[in-house]
Amino acid sequence: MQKIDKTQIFSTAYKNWEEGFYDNHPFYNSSNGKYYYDVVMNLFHCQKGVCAYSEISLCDDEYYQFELWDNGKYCSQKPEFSGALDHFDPNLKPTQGWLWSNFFMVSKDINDKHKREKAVDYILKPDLSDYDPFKLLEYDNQLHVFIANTELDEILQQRINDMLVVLGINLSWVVKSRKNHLRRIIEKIQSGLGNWEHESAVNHQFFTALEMCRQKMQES
Amino acid sequence: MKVSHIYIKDYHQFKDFELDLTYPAGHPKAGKPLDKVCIIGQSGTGKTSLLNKLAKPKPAEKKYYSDPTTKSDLFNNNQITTPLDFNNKNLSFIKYVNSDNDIRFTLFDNGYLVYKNGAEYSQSRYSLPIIIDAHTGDKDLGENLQYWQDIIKDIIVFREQEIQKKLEIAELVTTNQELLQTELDKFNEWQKSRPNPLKDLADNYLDKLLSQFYLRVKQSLDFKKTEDIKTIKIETIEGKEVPNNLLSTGTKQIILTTLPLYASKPTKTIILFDEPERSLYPDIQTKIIDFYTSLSTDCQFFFATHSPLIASCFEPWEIVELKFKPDGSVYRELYYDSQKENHVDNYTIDPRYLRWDSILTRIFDLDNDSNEARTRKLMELATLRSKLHKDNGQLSMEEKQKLQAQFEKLANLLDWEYDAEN
Repeated sequence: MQKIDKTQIFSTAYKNWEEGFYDNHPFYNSSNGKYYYDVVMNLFHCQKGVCAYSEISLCDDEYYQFELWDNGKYCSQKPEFSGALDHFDPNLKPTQGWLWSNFFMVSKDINDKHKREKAVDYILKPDLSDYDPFKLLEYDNQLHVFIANTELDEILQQRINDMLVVLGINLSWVVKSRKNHLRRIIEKIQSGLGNWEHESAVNHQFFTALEMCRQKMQES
Repeated sequence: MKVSHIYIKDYHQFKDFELDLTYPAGHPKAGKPLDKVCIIGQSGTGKTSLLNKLAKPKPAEKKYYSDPTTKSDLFNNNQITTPLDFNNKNLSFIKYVNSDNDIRFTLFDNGYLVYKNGAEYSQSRYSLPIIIDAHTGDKDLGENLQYWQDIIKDIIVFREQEIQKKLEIAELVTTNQELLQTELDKFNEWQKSRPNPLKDLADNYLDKLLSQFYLRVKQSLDFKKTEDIKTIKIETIEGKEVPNNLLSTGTKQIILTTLPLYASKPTKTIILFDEPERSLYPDIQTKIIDFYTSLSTDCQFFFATHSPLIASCFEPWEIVELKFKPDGSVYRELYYDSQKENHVDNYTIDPRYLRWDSILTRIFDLDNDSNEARTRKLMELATLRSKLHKDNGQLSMEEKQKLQAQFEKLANLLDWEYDAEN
């Protein structure tokens, strides 16, 4: 799960609107789509088009280019994407349903079927300043699962591992998709048809797992 | 006669719903009706409703019958369309096609369909669909099962004749040695001309199934009392008799569902099965479809199932997967890109080539291939691997061996294979 920088706000009309409510937001659905695409597409820009948790690709970059915003509003008519708008902390949804910092774009199945209203631990909130996947996580390139860094203390490892489950990062269909994607890239590199720099630059999903595989393979 | 198309204009969850039940282009039987169809889908999508509609065809309302001038005409004209009785608007229909090009359907005034066979113009009524009731409930192989009783009747007649002839021969041993050889020859001839129905039942039908349960039909005759010739006995492969009321639910299930096919030997008939997998262990589920179809000739089978093992016995175009649209209506999921031609080469899913778990995730739309407990244990396995690999000489040999043992035990528990799909 990559670190996400959400400080680059293109949807300023939405942000000004949201900040006006302080801790008493209108009910989440009350916007009736007024700022929906402003939030979604700005998030995709910050998340590089992937699910905030699983890093599965959800949106092509052509739909979240800066040129598509005009006067703080997202202007493209029909952006194509899959995924759902997730409230990271479900406890904030009733009173701060439009809080920018609580929003992430995620795979629809993770949002609808898996994470739902489960309690969260902020230790794995990907936009926090002290979140660093390379310190908190490890990637097993045979099992293709993320786990807590085994050098951290046991209690911290447990908290991280619990959150990896809550966020659906190791769901079997995510693992399968990640494994197939990484294996294709790694086989290309190992057969001499590609190299790490180029493949990392053109890669459009599973950035963190690919980088961790690269580090592990270059170490050995 | 086989169903080639179904169209439902508007009935509950079916809105403008069309099923093409013919083989795709590129198939040796391209354009002809499917020999077998497997209907799958979430509960409520209408699998059983479709079977029920097929089970009770209305008399044909429209016929396509004229003198063919081309091969194509011959095929196209050799079909009939019957209305489905949804909302009486006759906008919904089932289209039937005959599998033989020299047979033409025509409609009689009394509403029955008949066909004319080639130059002979012989007529007979087409077979009504056979519904196989897989819901055996508390049914037993007893007096209330007509097919079973008919077979037993045939066996009794044979046994009575056999016993009578043997008694006659036995009498000659003491009274007329000269005639004995002649009567023995006659008896042998009789045996050849009159196949033993019990042997046929065992060798060509029941023993093939019963062997899966380590059972077989008892063919030797224990004539101790009159009842002994009036029953079909089943025994273990060691020869120990198993009373019918002690047969397992699965054994009874498989006998009860296959019996109508063995007994009636259907030809050119539509046969409908709901949940053929019921009470059957997985290994038998993988064989049962071939067995059912082997008991008939040129029939069309419709199976409605929730079993991935049953689904694995079908070609992809034979699968009708019903899915809900967001508005609650139902559509058929196609296994090829709808922008492309319905051609065998364009299919991207083939249940015959998938592992059982892949059928569950790719065809039955199960999100995950296991539950959350496995995910957590896989993470535990990765943690053990990480600790072993990061050791850098900090762990004692004893600690390392302990970790390795834990790793191997967990890997075995998870059925995890090194460097394989897991």
